[in-house]
Amino acid sequence: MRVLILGCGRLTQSLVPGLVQAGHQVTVLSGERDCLENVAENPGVDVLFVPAPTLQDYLRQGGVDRSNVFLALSEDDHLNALCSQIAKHIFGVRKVVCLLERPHLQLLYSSLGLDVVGYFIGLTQDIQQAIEG
Amino acid sequence: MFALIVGCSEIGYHLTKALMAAGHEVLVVEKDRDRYRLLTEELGGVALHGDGTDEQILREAGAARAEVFFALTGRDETNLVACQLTKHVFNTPRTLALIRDPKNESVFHFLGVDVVVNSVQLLLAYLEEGIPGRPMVHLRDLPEPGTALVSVSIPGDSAIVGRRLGDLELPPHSLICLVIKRGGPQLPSNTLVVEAEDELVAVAMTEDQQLLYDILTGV
Repeated sequence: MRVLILGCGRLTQSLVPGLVQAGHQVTVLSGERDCLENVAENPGVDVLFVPAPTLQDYLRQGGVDRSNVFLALSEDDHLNALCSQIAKHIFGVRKVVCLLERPHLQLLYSSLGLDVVGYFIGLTQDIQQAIEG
Repeated sequence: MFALIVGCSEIGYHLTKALMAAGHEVLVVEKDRDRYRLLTEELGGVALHGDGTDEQILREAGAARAEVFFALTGRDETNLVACQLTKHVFNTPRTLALIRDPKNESVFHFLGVDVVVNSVQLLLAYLEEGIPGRPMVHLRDLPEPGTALVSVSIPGDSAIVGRRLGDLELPPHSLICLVIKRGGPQLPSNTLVVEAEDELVAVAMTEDQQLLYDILTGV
């Protein structure tokens, strides 16, 4: 599958090798040059440096219209929310995952139909499971 | 009317003053402490210091009773999140957002922002108007994706000067909706004759704009 990732940080760096191994075609868009250079060391990964990742032109350049999966993993909740919705509603990407850090935004965007991930959600589930288990 | 504004740029400042002068109740949520202070010093208790995309701050600001909500920060993504929060959590009846990336206009409309103002596009339209022999001016994108309102001024040597509007062969889905003549604006009719220097305001699909321009200005 074609996977387009917005944002390059520790999360992206640790995710990409697994995606590559699983045979996915990965492209990473980010304004973080150093991180992109690290990620580009994985064989077959395309990286695209973008000074302003909100621009739809850059998403298109990253091949959003041909992607099966879009992962918004930047450290900016607002950017992730906007780009996820562009990928989903304008470009019709089938699987869109949006990383959000703030709990009230996690609630809002889950209710608006995005697949939201975040530390708060994960932790809450882990704690519940720990109690129940 | 109670208006809630997030982001006090220059535009936010002037809007606040205008709304206050018109007798409306206004509250501005501003994240930057210095700007917040300046605003409070000059206009009194019209500002709240905090992040306008934080649900708790919006609640404190009275979002639940705001009749109109303006998102005027310098970032498109922040303005979108602010509008979506206030719309879905507080049911604000009317949301307006400022954007910079023209391509975001349709996605904002699609996501339920009622009025989207594209500051860059507006400035460009005004600046283009000043170019001699100016091209087609893009006035605004319409809610229907891929359609826009454009304006073309008819040069004296255009082949359509002296012809009736009804006789023009326009691209499909293109529609002339206003003719601004020297004497003033007129609603288009099939028998209205095009004259040099007329300004035609039309709805056109993005991909047809060049064709429309060629038809209207071709020699």
